[in-house]
Amino acid sequence: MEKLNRNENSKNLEPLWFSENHQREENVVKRSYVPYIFLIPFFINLVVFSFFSLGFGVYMSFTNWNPFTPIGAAEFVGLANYVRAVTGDPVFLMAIKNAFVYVLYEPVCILLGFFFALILNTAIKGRSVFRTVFFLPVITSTVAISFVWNWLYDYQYGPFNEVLKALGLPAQYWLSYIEVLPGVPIALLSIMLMSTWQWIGLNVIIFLAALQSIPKEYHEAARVSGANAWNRFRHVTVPLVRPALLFCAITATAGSLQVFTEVYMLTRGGPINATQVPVVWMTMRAINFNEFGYGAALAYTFFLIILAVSLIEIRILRRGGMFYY
Amino acid sequence: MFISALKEQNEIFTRPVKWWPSNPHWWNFIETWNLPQPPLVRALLNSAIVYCSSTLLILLASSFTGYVLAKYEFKGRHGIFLWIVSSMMIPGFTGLIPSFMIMKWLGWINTYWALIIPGAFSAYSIFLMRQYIITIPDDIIDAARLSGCSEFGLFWRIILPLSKPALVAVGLINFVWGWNDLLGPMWFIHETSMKTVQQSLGSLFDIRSSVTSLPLVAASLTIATIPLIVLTIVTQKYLIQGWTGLSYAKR
Repeated sequence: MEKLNRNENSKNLEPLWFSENHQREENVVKRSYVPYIFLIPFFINLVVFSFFSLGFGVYMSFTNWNPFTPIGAAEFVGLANYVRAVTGDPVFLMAIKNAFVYVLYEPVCILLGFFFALILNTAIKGRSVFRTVFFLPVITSTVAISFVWNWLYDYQYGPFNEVLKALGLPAQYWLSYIEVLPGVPIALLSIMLMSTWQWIGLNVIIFLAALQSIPKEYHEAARVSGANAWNRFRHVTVPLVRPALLFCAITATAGSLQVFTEVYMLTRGGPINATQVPVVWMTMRAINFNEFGYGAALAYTFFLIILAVSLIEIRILRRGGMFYY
Repeated sequence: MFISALKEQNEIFTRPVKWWPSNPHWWNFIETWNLPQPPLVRALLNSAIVYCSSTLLILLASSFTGYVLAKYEFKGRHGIFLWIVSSMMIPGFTGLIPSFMIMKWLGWINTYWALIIPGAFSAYSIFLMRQYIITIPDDIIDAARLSGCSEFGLFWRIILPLSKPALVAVGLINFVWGWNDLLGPMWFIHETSMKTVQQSLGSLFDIRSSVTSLPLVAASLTIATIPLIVLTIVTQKYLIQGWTGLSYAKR
């Protein structure tokens, strides 16, 4: 009885992600000082690189500090950096727009990944070979991949244009600012295409794991009850893979908004800032123009945007019945 | 990429595309040593030093923290865990500017420390380690404790060996991630001799018109990727387990 009460209490007090500890809690041995010794590395990091660093970063975003002057000599400029970021910096606003356009490659990537996973799941032989093949782009560095794709996109020698020419279509300047859709330069689409290719393997592997965890009996039962292939897919496979689907979609968004290497390597945010994204722009302001205070303001502005997006997504996640943490 | 590395300069541009060069130039791999800027061997060495040590540090710190969070009851445990879970939401780039300043104060710009130390904390690694260690039965720990094992002995002799799969996965992910990272080194390393592999490849990109030797560039790319491919194939099972949970969000 006592045990029951305790579980109920802790359920009321704690967030959901602790729930798995409930059974274990009474087994955990109490030793007063030992845990804190193990936690020393964590605390050092917490103080120096979390609290101190975050606090100082926020302070810096209110100053005009640059690395050549001591921090004490930096002038306090109040909210000027933030005002400039939001109202006086069209490139930053375009960068945010581009980042949100860039994220749209994710749904395509996830659906294609799901599709390939379905095919691979039916193949019995050679699965591990395919898995390795799909996984190679994921571990190859984006820098190396950008090299290769830069060559693929080459106007004169690139294979993409060769194919277009063979089909009788005009060759394209793949990395130019020519707009294919209103506000979307072709270079941005090219970067998105490269990312799709790079990350598809990861989605395949996640979905393959999810597909393989579906018990065979479910499909058998559905078949016995007279469900055809489409219905089995629609009512057995999809609902059971849905958690993996949502997980991919939501964790990928925050990561993709922070895109850096792809854009930096392929276009440097150019031509004329057409494919600029926030993290590249922040790095350029800080490293190339020495505007660290302003760079910090850009970082925190964009951080707030990402945070808002993530919170909305977590709400969707909860509604979808998912508690990952 | 690999095939281009074996070709001659003009062979790359021949049409139709040749899938295998008529006369493989294995020598290209050796010749990357002579690329004008930046020295690839030095860059490989830099990367190896930096990311091996930061991976070891991550493993040590995150298994410490994960172990404590999983197996001890103490004041502030829930607070710490909450902090770790929520700091997984903080994107990495927000820390770059303040870290740059701290590095400047410490005089660590252009040193290995600038890349090793900030990389040594990884909320995801702690989280994964905790999730794994929590599955180790308490009975084993109790038995060891009853046999007179000290708390640290417990960690070294029981917990670490038993959590080997998690250690391998977490270590590899962090290593691969660090090795492929360009943003961090770009902020903290400006001196040519201290650049990491990715930076070095990146600057090849800038001077590729003057080098005019695409096969050599391709050979450099291949050399830089081979360590990861070998590591991945050797430990494929663990790596995939770990990646699925980790990679996206860390990006």
